[in-house]
Amino acid sequence: MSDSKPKFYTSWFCPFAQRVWIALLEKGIDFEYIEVDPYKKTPEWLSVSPRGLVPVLVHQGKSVYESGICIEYIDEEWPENPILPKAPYQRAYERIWADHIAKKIVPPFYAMLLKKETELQENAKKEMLEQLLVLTKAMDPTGPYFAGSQVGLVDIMLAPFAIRFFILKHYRGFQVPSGDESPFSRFNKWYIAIKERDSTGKTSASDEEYIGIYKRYTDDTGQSLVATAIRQGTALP
Amino acid sequence: MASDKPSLYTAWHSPFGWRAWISLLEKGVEFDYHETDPYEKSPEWFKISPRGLAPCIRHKGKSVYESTICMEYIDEAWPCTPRLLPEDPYDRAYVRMWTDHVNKKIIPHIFGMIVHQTATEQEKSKQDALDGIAAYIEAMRDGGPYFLGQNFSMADIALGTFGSIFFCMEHYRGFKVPNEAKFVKFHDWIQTIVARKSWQTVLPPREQVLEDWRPYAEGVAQTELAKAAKQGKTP
Repeated sequence: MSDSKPKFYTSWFCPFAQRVWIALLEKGIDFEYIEVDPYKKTPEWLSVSPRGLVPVLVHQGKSVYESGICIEYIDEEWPENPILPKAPYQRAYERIWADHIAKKIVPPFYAMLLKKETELQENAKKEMLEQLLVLTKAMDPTGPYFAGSQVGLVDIMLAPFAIRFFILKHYRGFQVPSGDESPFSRFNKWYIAIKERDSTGKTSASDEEYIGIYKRYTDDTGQSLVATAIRQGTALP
Repeated sequence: MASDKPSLYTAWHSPFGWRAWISLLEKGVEFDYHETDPYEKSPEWFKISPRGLAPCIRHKGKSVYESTICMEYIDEAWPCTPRLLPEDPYDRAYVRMWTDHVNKKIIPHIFGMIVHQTATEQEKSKQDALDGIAAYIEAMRDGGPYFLGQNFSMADIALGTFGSIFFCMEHYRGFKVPNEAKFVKFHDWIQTIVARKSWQTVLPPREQVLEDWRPYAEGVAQTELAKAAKQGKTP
C-alpha cells in the first residue's frame, strides 16, 4: 500500500497516455494530472521521461513509462479493482492480445493517416480490419468486454484507438462494418460498452479537438516519433 | 486431460527461443522439448501457436507465445526461485522497462547490423546497438553481478541470450563491445551470465551459430525475420 500521490505526465491527445489515464480512473487512484508538451524535449522533461515520451507515471520519486508497463505497475501497487486476472494463463492471454494490438492494430492506424499514396492507405485499412477481426475472435463470446464482464488490460489498451476510429472515417473513409450479421458484431458490442464507461468519457477530448489535432498526420507535417517511424517503415518507439 | 507438463516449441538456433528455454531450466521445470521450424507454416503449427510464433509453450491445453510473455508466464506459473521478476511493484516495472529497452533499443540493431548489406547502414546499427547497451549498463543496479544487483532476473535473460552470441556479430561485422570504462560492467556481466548452467545447456557450438547466421549476413535469407529486420522491426 503506498502513501504518496502519483504524478501522471500526459498529453491530452495521446492515445497511449489515455490508456494509463483510464487505468488510474478505473482503479479509483488519487493522482496529480500534469499536462506536458512531449515535443519540447527539455532537460527537465528528459529527466522525468528518459525517452521523452508520454505517458510517464512518477511515484515516490521514481519514473515508470510505457503504457502497458504503467498499467501493470498501477495494478500491482494498488491491488483493489484489479485490471489483470490472477491466474497465470489468463494474465498471459491478456498480454498476448495487448501485444497483438501494439504490433498489428496500432501501426495500420497511423499508416492509414500518414501514408500519402491511396494504395498504401487502402492496404492499411485492409490490414486494420483483418487484425481487428483476429482480435474480435479472441474475445470472450458474451463479453461485453474483451475477457468477459469486467474491464481488463486489453480493453484499456484498445479503447483509445477505437474511440479515434471516427478520425479514420473522417480523413480516410475507414469504417468497421456494422450490423448483427457482420463478423464484427462482437467488436461493435464491445465498442458500445467501452464508449459508455465513465473512464472513457472523462479521458476523451471532443470530436472537433481530435479531428483538428490529427490533421497534421494527414498533411504529413506530423513530427512525432510515431509519425517518423511510420514514414521510415521502422518499428514504433 | 490436458497435461500439467509443459511443452516448449522452439528452434535450436533462436535467441528468442533460448529466453523461454533458459527460464524453464532455471526454474527446474520438467518439460518436453519440441524442435520447431517456425517458418514452416503448417496448419498443425498454427494449431499450436496461433500467430505462428516461436517460442511457444503449450501448458494445460493452452498456448503462450512471444518470448517476453513466455518469461513472465513461466515466472507466474512456477513461482519458485529463482524469481524472474522481483516482488516489489516498482522493481517489477524496472525489470519490464529494461526488458522492453532490450527488445526495442538493442535487439533490432543486432539484427540490423547483420541484415543490412551496406557499410553505412551496418555502422549505424553497430553504433545504435552500443548506445542501447550503454544505457542498459547505466541502468544496472550496484552490488552486481546481475542487472538488479544481487538478484538474477528476466532483464538478464532478455539481453544475455543475444549477448552470448556477440562473437557472431564480431565475426561478420567487426562488432565489439569496447573494453573502455563505460562498458567494463558489460563484460563482467556477460561472463557471469554465460557461465550459468542454463546458458551452457542451450548455447549451440560456435560453428553452428556462425553457420546459422550466414544467410542473413550474406543477404540471402528470405525469412520473415530477415524482412522485418531490414525494416528495423523484430517480429
